Amino acid sequence: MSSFFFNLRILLMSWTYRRDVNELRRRLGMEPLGYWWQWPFRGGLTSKWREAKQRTNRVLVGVFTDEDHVLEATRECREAGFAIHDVYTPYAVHGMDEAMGLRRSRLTWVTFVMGALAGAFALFGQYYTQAIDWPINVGGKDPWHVHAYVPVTFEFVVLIGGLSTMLALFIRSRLYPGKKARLVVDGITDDKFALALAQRDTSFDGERARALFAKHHVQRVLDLGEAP
Amino acid sequence: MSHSVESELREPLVHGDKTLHDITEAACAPMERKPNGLWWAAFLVALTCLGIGFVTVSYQIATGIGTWGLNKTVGWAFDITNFVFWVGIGHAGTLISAVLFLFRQKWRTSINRSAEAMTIFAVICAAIFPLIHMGRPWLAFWTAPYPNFRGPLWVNFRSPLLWDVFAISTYFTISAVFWYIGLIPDLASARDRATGIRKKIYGIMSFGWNGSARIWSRYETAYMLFAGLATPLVVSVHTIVSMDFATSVIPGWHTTIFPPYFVIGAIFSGFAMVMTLLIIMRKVVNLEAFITINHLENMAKVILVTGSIVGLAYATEFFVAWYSGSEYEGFTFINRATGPFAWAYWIMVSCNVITPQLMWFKKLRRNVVVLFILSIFVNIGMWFERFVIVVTSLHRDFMPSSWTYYTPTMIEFLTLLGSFGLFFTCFLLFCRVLPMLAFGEIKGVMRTGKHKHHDHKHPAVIHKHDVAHAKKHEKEVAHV
Repeated sequence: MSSFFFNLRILLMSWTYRRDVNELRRRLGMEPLGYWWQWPFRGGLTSKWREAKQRTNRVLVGVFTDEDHVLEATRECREAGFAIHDVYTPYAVHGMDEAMGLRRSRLTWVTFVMGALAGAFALFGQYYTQAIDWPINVGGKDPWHVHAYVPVTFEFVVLIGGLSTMLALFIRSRLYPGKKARLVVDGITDDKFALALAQRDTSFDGERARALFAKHHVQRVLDLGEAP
Repeated sequence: MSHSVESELREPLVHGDKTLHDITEAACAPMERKPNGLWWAAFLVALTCLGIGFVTVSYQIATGIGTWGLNKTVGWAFDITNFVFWVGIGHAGTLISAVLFLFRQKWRTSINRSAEAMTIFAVICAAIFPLIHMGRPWLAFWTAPYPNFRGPLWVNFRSPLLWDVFAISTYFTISAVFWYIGLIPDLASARDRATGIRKKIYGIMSFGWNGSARIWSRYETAYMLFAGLATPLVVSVHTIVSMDFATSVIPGWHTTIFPPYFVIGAIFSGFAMVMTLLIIMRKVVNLEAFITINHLENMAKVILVTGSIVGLAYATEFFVAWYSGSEYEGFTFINRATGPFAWAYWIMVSCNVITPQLMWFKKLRRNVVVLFILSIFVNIGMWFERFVIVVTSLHRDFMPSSWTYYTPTMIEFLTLLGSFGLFFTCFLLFCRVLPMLAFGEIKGVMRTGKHKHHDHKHPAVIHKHDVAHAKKHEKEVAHV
């Protein structure tokens, strides 16, 4: 019983200690340490990418109430040369990728490569265990006959392909359990559509952007100092 | 919706003139209000069944599977029947969410979430039965190929039973991932409406979703990939389940027709179970505007098609048993239809082949009461199909001296009851705490079949009022 309380104390100590370290890091202008499972979402390349993104943190946001309006507004703003920071919608609006000029997601490559690796691993693993390490004589049959190993290989390809697609989606989009949601305006997950234009430099023509928003029945316009 | 092809013939997917906010309200209402008496009554019944199941399973694990009615001749019976039954039930969810997604069947959006939940709970129910059958379920990890100190003695990858381990666990994992990925945007909607502890929990579960179109774009790609992976997966799972039988040399099991026949049977039974659940659910939680009679009619059509294919499979089995000239094969099938288990065979045929044929009539297809009764019949029929395949092929084997009859014990009945208890407890809890309509997707298809906002550039059908509307719209634009 005492060891239980001892372990509990260690656990609590590590918790308080982590908070102290985070306070120190914050004062030094460093990013606070996260939980261990946040590491793929925080360190390395992604933080560099995020820093680059944060340099353009001032955005002009137009709030719309119809998907057709926000779609057309996005298309025209992009054609007019505005940098689209992001568009926030309650559901996947069809045609938004083209309107924003997004390129095709490369997640398919993750699925393909990981699926292929999983298939190779499964085939090799079965070959090693069944034909090399401990061949079992079943009615005098050849221990390696590829047909018998197709089902497990297929299932493993699907399993690893699916799980790696999920992980790639979460890591690339930096979605993780417990992440605090920063909504650009209330109602984004209900019935509002928001188009956020990045105000990168002094050449940003706010008046023209507002006029374009107005043409497409904007509900309200917000000038946010910090991008969500 | 600007991109959707409007059709004069197609009925709207969502009834009533609803705004986006109305859909959020309607979909979140069951999670936000206190459950009604009907829910509590159903939940208590389900929980009681689950409790009974828990006690009986504990008893049979402690005592051993000698508590079942198995004997030397009939070594597989009730347990395997239940396993195949539940795996089959699980197939409709993935079919609705993945295959109908790839075929761009927009009507799936109202039913896919609850069908996927049903898949996951059904697979959990299914997985319990082989675990019990192992006799020592705490050693279930021996089915995993890990380096061990017993040689290392590896699992036999040539055994269909091991294929099953991989198929069922992969199917469960991928279905759960597919379901959860779909849930995230809806959980975010629930989070932004909730307060207190619920906001916190939905906040953790929704992964910080903020509706970014950059993320939506990747999300859509990932969703399509999952659909692409799940479609062959769903076919493979019941194929492999059928191979548990088909790769043996028992007359009645050793047939090449089994894989497609099992897959179609799984879809057939799965749709029946989805229909049973949805007819109750749309009534209890007032979702008639979303799960419309058209949805039920579409499902009835799927049941009709798959039911007819199942009937064809029964006929083909009989034909091949005769045409093959195999004495044993022929005897098994004659024995099925006329032997001691003829009662089970004819329950199966009347429920699975005859009742679905009523769905040729549109009047019956659009009658909720008829559909409900039909779906129950199909559920019963498909349970008996597995019973017939397993038991009648075994009980009269090659040696007449070992011919016998199989009677299930009360323990086996109560275990089946317990699995239904588990299924309905999970499903009722799901209805309470998670969004049971994929309303993020419904919002995307709600304009289908309505004439509110036409695509003026690419109208599918040009009408007078469209032209007038377009002219009016042009004026507005010019005015701005």
